[in-house]
Amino acid sequence: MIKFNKPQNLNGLELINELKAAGVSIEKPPLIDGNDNFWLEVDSADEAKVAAVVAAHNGTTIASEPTPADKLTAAGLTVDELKAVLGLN
Amino acid sequence: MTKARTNADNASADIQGVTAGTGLSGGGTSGTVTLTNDMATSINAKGDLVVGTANDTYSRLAVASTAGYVLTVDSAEATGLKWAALPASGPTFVGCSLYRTGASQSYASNTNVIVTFNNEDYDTDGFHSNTTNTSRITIPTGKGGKYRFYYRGFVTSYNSSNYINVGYWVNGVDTLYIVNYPNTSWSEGWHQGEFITNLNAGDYVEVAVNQASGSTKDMRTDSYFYQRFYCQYLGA
Repeated sequence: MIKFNKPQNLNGLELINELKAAGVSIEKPPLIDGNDNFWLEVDSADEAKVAAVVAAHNGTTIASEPTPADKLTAAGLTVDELKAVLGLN
Repeated sequence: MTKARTNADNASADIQGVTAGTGLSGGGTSGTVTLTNDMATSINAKGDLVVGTANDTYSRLAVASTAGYVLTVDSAEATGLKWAALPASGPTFVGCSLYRTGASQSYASNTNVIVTFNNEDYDTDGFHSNTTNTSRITIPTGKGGKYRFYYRGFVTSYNSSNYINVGYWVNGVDTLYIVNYPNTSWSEGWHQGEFITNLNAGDYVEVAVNQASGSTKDMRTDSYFYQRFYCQYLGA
């Protein structure tokens, strides 16, 4: 396992495909350890090549679904106001 | 030819006296003699016992005043025995329960993310730290043996039918993966996994989550037991 800088937008499957396209052999998914360090199980001979691929990686990300509280706030409502509208107070 | 007995013969054969030996009192040298069993008269009440205290000696051990007490060996007592309460029934629990509060931990897609925990429901023997190596459950000194681990969690906004793996890592090595396929109608990626193994003192266990939705997801954290990492010591 070799430690690399963690990409801002990490998508493990896409990164593995990018590494394979660059001729790097990798079988296991990336690892983020308990201290937020980023590790890849690659041959040390490929370290420089892998670092370049990792630095260029910008994985697909989809914004998380907003929570009900977020949606209420976006609509300018509080929970108490919603309760009042629904006759739950 | 048999010689006839004389008065002198008869006198020498008479009992001259009765002496109380060990455990007896009374006796005498004439008339009606009474011997009393001292062990029996040592008893004063129902339940009393006569207990040896040394070679050829004994003493009374009064019955316990508390119902339910049992006789227990205790070398510090004069009789070597005492009445005592039964030990508390059932084993003493050993283990911990961990969870996370505050900011959610993010899970990048198709990546093993070691889960960290900054809170404990309980931790009987210092298995976990909320500040250092917060992902680890470390086996304490003197507590090597069989352990059961169980992890469960929710990934929020999981509108995917792709797997969420729960992986157990022992001393930094991936050891076991449990594959979960979430129910997409819930829109939350429920995942869980159990692991029983033999560990030595100093070994540590972590749990990794690997979700394959295709994008980064957050773990749900709050106080409603959505996420927990349990450890239970089963025995040596």
